Formats: sequence, C-alpha cells, structure tokens
Amino acid sequence: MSADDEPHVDELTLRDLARCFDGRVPAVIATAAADGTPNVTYLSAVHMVDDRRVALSNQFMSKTSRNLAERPLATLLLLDPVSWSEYRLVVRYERTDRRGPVFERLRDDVDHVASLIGMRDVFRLRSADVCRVESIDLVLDLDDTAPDGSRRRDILLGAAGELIGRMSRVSGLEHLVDVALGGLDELLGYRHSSLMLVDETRTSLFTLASRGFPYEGVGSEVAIGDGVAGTAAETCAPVRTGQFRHLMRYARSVRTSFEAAKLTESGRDTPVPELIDAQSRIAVPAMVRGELVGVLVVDSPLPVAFDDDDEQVLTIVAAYLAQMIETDRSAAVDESTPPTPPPTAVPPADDQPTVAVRYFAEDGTAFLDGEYLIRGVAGRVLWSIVQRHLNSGQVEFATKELRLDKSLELPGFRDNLDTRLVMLMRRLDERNAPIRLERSGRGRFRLLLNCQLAVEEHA
Amino acid sequence: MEIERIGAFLESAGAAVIGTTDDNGVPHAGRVWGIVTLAESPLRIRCFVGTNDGITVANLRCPGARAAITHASVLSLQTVQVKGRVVSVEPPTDKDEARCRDARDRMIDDIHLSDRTPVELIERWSNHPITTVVVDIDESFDQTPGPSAGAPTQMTR
Repeated sequence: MSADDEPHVDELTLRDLARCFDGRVPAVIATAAADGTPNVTYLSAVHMVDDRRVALSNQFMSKTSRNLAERPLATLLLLDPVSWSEYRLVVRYERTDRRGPVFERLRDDVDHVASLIGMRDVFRLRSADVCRVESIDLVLDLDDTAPDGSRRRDILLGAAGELIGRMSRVSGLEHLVDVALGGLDELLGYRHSSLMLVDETRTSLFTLASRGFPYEGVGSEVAIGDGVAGTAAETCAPVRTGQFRHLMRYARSVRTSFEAAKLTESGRDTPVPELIDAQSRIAVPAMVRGELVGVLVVDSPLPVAFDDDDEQVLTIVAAYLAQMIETDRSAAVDESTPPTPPPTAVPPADDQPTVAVRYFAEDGTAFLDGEYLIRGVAGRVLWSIVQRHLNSGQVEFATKELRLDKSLELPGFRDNLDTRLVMLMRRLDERNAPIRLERSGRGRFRLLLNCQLAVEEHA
Repeated sequence: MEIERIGAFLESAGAAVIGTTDDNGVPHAGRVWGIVTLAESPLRIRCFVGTNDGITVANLRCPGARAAITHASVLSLQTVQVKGRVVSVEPPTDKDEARCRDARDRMIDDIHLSDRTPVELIERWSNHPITTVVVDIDESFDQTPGPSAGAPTQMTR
C-alpha cells in the first residue's frame, strides 16, 4: 500500500462511527456548484462501504449529485443517535453505482422504507454515490452519555441458554409459543414480541401469538416483502430499525409527496407497529434446513434499542423455535392414532344465548355475531367443526380427520393445520367467544360451547 | 410555496443547517440554531450560527460570501432550502439571544416529541454561544423528501 492509499482520518475511523450509519438520524451534506454556490440538504442515510468509503443513497438529491460531478468535494455531518455526539466528514466523490453490491445494499434499505408505505413500485433507489473519506472530525463529544454495553452480551447469552432449555422441555405448539414469548420477556427483557408464520401460499405471514401489545392480533397478516417483518421474511435475513418513528415520518412524507405529484394512488399503509410508542423493531427469520418457517419480531419504545448482540441472540432463539415448530408439525402429520369415536354432546340448554356464525366459503372468512373472527384455513376449520357438531353432536375431534376434509383446501405438503388450529384457539380466547376449542390429547381437541348456534353460509 | 409562506416557514419550529464555501470553493456544513425573517419581499433573514463552528463563521466573513440554509420541520419533514448573499456577520443582541433560545426550545420539543430523545441530551447538543448572520435570499427550493425535492419554489421560478 502506498502512502497515498493511507486514509487520513485523524485517528477516528469510520468504524468508530458505526451507530451513525445505523441510527437513521438524517445526515447533512454540503456541496458546491461550479460557480461556488453552496448547497446543503438532509440525507436519509449514509452507509459505510469499507474502512475509507461511504455511500450516499440517491433517491431525490439531483442537485447534490450534479454538484459532486462538478466539484467532487463534500462535507457531511453525522449524528450518533445514542450519544448525540456529532462528526464532520470531508469526502471526495469517486463514482456512482447503479448496480453491484453497494447499490444493492442501499437498495434494500430504500425498498424497506418503500415497503412501509406500500410504494415499492415507484419509490426506488436511483443510484449510490460512493465517496472516499478524507477526514473525520469530532465536532461535539457527548459520548459519556452512551450506555456501556460490554456486559450485556454475556447476560443475553446466558438468558438465551435458559430460554432454549425451557423450550426444549415443553410439548405442543401452543405451549411452545407461550414459553418462547414468555421467556423473551422474563429472561431476555424483550417485553413486546410476536411470532409470525409463513402461510400456506408462502406469500404472507400470519401472527400466531404475541406478547406485550395492547391486543394479541392473532391471525393478522403481513405480505412477505412488506414492512420490517415482511422484509426479514423476503430476504431471510434479520432486519432492524432503530428510529421507527423517524422512518415512518420519512416514509409518509415521501408518500404524500408522490401523491401530490399524482405519481401514485392513495392506498393502504402496511400495518404499523401495534406498540403505540414503538421506536425500534427487529425481525429475525426462523428457518430450518434453509426453509423459512416464520419471523420473530420484537418491538421497543426506546430508540436504537437493538444491536448486533440482540440480532445474534434472537437468531439463535428463532432458529430453535423453527426447529421445534417443524418437529411438532411433522409429528402432527405422522399422527397415526385413529380418531376416537365421536361422543355426542349434551345439547345446550334452551336458555343459552344464540350466537350467529356467518361463513363465506370463497375465502373462508368467519364472523361471530357480525364481528369478523378469522379467515382462510382457520375459518374453514371452524366451519367444518361447527357443521360436524350440528350434524352429529360431535364435540371431540382429531386433527387427522380434519386433515382428510377436502373442504379445508389444505396443501398436500406442509399443511400448517396444527398452527392454524392453535391460531383459531387463540383467536377464540382473545375474543372471549362463547365457542372455544381446547386440547384433549395428542392430535385431539374438544369443542366447548356456551351458546346455541345459528349458522349462515355464503358462497 | 409562496414567498410570504417561506419567511413564516423558516421561523417555524424545526431544525436548520447551513452550507458555505471557502475561498477555494470547498463546501462546509454547519448547524443553524434559529432563523428570524427580517423582510419578506425581497426575503432577508437573520440566522444564528454557533461560534464553535469556526469554519462556517470564517466562510461567512469571506467577501461576496453566499450561504445555503435548509430548514426542516422535525415532525412533518417539510423542508425548504434558501440561498443568498451574506450581508453581515454580527454579534448577537439580547433580543437575538432570546429569539435563538425560543427557536432552540421549540426544536428540542419537537425532537423530543418525535422520538423521545431525552431533552437534556438535545440541550447539550444544541447549546452553543452564537453569532448572527444576515442573508439576502434570492433562491428557494422545496427539499421535502419526494419526487419534487429540489424543485424551485414560486419565488425562484
């Protein structure tokens, strides 16, 4: 390496500024036109390319790009989102990437913002301007306010070990998810978490369970590719956001601008975090043998709450969870116990209230007393159970007999029946419905009714 | 955005930055801790710049200096950039100090509201002795993130 190749970074290195690239506090860039007129603007993010280069994602900053082409020097202001220490970098423009690994990394981030507002088709990265860092100055040192995280890694790893031990001692999917999310809270301090699984079509995720939110949200869905969880599912890689509110404001501002320019139709937002004050969100894929099973999602009301240690620990937990889910799923499919003879139920007393079950066969949507309950496979399962009960008084069911029911439209491979059944049980519990399901043995469950049923089927 | 609204927007709660160049045209980025509109047509503004940012202050003192100032609402991210000729760089009056404190307090409130950053931290970051710079604005641009970012406003068209 020649002397000219040595980075002149005045002792500080880009790695010392790692949080500035992660925290998503807007950076500032000043450039100058050929005639010397300055231009200053905010940047949504600056990315570290290597030890001496940064990349600026270019969605909108056409003037900055023109200036860099004319005069290749620029100054950046970067703010540490935790300590609020501030750095000033003098950078020299080297090249513009429109493909390749640097471009793709930045494009993933832009796609993530676009997915938050459902605008992946129109909000795209145009290019990545790669700049060499000539100097780094610490403008303001407030680092004494940053928390010391050196001991946290050991604590997290120990707690993760304890959690995996607990998970290995339970059987049954519903118990497993309770232990997993409970342990994330009690042992690891992740108070707000949810487990989403890949649906049968492998195009969306559905919430199987959650903990620490105002409501459990069982059955809620996110398309793969949308939002933090959907992006983690699509890329099969952890995704974390440290300034969720800023990111959402930025995403909404962009969307408003696009709508004002009539470049897109007003549409639905991807569901936002259910934690009202969420600032940080991390989603890690739960995978087995290279196959995505689901996504583990954790929210925090604190900014930049998650770091590499959290990512690694949650990846371990998610991988083990995925393994346990797959084991449970395989056991359910292989279940060879014949269904027990269906006992006849005691007819409900006449004075019990009547609950209307309305069912739409087209998409398996089920309503209880006019309120939406669930849809898809879980809705079809409920309808099948209700029909069997009304026809024969059956209250004891085996998953094996359900699996043979063609009306459920289960795929022939990886049918998710057991997870859908757990989701249905949780959804009925969450609604405090007068219709409940409970496990009555391995591969068996029981219908509990505190009402009379009035059913109504629509095509 | 119309010129009357640009003056009002620059005075509204938000975060502002300033771009300057030295004699050799090397650009420099700094913070602005408040803006006061002195006249609306033509637009003349007074900005408060930290004296700890020696390069910005020196650049502003260069003969014929021009400055670019970008002001953004922390809550809505609406953003406007104005550019113009530096008229003077002066020590702050008591009134300037008061206006700067007010602008800084409103910015701190908005940042705290937007992401719950502790107020004490933002105060430590933003609390600096200031000097004032008067700029005659001759260009303005909408810098709100989106497809129109960088478009001249009515004032410049």
